[in-house]
Amino acid sequence: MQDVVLALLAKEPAHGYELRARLQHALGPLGDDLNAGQVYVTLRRLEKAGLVTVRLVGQTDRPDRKVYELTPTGQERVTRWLADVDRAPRPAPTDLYLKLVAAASSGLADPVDIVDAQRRELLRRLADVQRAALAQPAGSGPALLLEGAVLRLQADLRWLDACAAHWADRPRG
Amino acid sequence: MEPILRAQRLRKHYGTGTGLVRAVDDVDLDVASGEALAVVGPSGCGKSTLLHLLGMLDRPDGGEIWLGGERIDRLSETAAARLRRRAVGFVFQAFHLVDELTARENVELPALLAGASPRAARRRAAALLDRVGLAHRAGHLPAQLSGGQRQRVAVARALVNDPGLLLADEPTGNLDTAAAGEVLRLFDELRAEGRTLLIVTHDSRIAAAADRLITMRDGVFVDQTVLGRTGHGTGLGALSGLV
Amino acid sequence: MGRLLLAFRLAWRDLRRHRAQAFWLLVAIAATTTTLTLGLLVRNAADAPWDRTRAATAGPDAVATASDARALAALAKADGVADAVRPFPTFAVRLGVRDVQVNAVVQGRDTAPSRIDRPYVTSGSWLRRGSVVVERAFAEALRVRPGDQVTAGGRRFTVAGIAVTTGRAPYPSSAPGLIWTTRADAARLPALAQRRLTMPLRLEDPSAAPAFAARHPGVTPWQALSEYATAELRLADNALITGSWALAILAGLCVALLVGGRLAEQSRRVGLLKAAGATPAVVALALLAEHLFIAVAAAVVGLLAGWAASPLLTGPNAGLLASGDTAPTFGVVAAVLLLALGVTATATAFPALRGARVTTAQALRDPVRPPRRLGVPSGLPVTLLLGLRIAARRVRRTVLAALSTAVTVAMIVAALAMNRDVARMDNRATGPDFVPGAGNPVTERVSQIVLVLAVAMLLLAAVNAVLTAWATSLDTLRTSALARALGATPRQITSGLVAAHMLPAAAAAAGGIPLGLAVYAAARAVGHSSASGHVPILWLAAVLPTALAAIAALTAIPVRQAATRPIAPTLTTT
Repeated sequence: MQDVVLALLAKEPAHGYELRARLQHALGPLGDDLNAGQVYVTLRRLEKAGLVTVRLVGQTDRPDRKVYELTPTGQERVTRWLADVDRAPRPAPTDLYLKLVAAASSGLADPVDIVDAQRRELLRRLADVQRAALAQPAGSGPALLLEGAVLRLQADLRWLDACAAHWADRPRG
Repeated sequence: MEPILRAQRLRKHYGTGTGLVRAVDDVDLDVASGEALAVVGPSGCGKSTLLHLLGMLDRPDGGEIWLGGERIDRLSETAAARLRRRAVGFVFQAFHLVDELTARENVELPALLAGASPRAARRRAAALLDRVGLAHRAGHLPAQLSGGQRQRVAVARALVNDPGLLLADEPTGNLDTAAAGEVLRLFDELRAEGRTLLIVTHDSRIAAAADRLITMRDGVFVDQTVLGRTGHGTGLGALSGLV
Repeated sequence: MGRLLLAFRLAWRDLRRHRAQAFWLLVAIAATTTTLTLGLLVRNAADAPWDRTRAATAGPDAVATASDARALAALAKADGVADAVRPFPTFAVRLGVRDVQVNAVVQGRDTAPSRIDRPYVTSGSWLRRGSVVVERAFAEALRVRPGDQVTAGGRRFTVAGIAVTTGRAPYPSSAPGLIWTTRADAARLPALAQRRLTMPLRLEDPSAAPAFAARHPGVTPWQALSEYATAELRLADNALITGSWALAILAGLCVALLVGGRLAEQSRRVGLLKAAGATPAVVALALLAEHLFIAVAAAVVGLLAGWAASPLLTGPNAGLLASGDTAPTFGVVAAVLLLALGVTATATAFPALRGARVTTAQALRDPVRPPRRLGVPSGLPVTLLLGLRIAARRVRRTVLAALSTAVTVAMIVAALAMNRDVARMDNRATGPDFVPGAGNPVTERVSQIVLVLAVAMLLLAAVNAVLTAWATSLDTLRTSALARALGATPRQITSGLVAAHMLPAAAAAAGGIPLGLAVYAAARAVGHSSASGHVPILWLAAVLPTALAAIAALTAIPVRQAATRPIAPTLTTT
């Protein structure tokens, strides 16, 4: 969550309400239960860690608004995060998706490159699992178990292809 | 080490003007002897065209192809056919067995075309059909075989002249999971034997069986992954999260 | 109504897409309809010139010949005779024209026109003293004109005129040729053989002339003369009608081959149409409509071409008066149209219905038929083996192609036999009765017709051979692309397919030889011909390799073309 919020600020400074709206727009129905409090808690923690600074902007008819901005340390962390490949056995789709959205909106990385890096990771894993599966005699119990892992990885890879096609079609920004 | 197959600035375009399709656009490729290479990418990315060019089934618009040190992109139809017989084996998505011939006769076909004696061709075909586990189906026509069996016959046929290079175009594309598994096992054995394989596919599973993996998009290579044979440290322990 | 419209729309689109095929179909059917038109026009034309000439010359109903004047006088009073004129002295003399000497028959005539058998002068004038009039066909063979000098029995005469008659068949149907002199001149001329008398008769019932002739020896009825005089037109007619039959068979085969090939190409389209809800009837109707349209066009072309060409064949020989008009009658038009539609409908209906009956899924799934295992031995060269396996699966096409070959070879053999007989007839037409160096218009015309028919037949057979090869190479496109991917050279593919073609073709050609001899023997039996029909064994032996070489060459063209097409597109589209 912290990385996503940081990345969304990379393009331009924004206030909490805007950030929440962007997240909800990207997540669609999955973003419905994202409440304003979660976003503000995250922003406060980032501020405490010195990753963002807050600036008060005066408004004529309402109280002043807090606009959040990345610090150089925050900038560095975003870049690192975008280049980082998820090494979890089964990366959560939402995490990768938000990373791609953030990469596209911040312009700090090409989403297609991120997908390719993730695909390489998954393919390596698929190759490992597959070799293990092929080492088992055909039709054995362990082979069947490994087959399940193979099919899941294949499903993830297919989704990555869909992501690549989605972001390859539209120019970043 | 000298690559067995080398392509330089290989190009094939279709159509003109706004309808121009850059199926293969200035691609460079080296395949080492004994390497198993997979080319993956969405359909229409040009990977099948690339395979056809490398197998001399189609002529490039530009660039050079070298096979075993011989330049092959300008060969005549006849010379290309002669070279294909001994140097290249093909496996296709649609199996492409000759419907009129039995499994054994299909396997014998390239051997006979290459001038083998009927007896030698028969012996080699019998051995290969046994190897792909279809000795008992040798006398059947393709129409009487399942998809997986047909593709195994096709693999046996591709191997009958012991070619230095095996080209496969979506070998599992028309197969269900179980049949694809049979074919996958076969390709893994071929890889383990040290045969030079070039597989074009969008099936990540068969691609993952390769040593090296190239991603192709809009006629160009956009990514490359080397899949070390010893694994890269994930270890089976990490798999526990998957199962 | 909407369904009909759909069928016609489909037919029309398809025609426009396959112009070359439509053209060949048109050529094939038009060749047949042209021949039939010619045959029918010639048949109609055979009677007209005789009737015209008979009317113009007050032609006799019967002609009596005797050496005894009293016998003729008695005959003149016989039952059934309405009128007779004074008999003409008739005898053979030696006729000299320039440096040519030939026998001729002299008839002594009055200078006044005769009541019966009054020769019709077509140039010059009728007899004067010291002049002769020459029968027109004889005059043409001699190349004499009014005013020329001739000698008869050693005496000099001037040719006064040229005339036609129906009292005697024209030269060379009856030889020697006929000249007329005055009775006085005739009496002075030395006869080569016995002098006889000729008396033309008018009968009370001209149609009973044959019966009258049967009762009285030495009498020839006009019907016999007519048949004799128009023999060449009847021969031509017989040749043309026989030729039309052979051509109709070839054209039918052509249509069937074309339709078969088209269906092989279109079976997916048919499947799509049916998947879209077209009933089998609509699919069959579309194919039928397309070919019937071509058939009607071909019938029109054939009628016009046959009509245009008819003067070349229907002009009577010089011995008769030409009839002006040979326009096709309603009957001719109907017959030609019927033939074109019949041939096309028969050849189309069977495959079209079969195509329509194929289940939709089957048609969509795969254009390749379920393989049939036939006893083709596998020890053969591999490409020949492939070709044979494919031929074995296309039984119908193989049979059609073999039939085409057999019919063509048969007709060529028949034509050869006829040619031999004609040559033999020509050889017999030498001697003192015949003008040396002059052609025989009867056999010349028949030879012409046989030549034209043979050319038309060879053309159709060639079209059939190419169509067969085209359909085969369409069928084998995938297989041959595949074999090439596996290392077969284009030459191997071509030679394999052609060789596979040649086996049934060789059998068919060998069968065509006895068939041709049988056809000709039957034709001779029908025509009561005395010709031997013998053809030298060497000629027959030469027909076989020639026909096979031609078929091989014609087959190789489309097969070779298909075998050099790029492989990748063929393999990816199937």
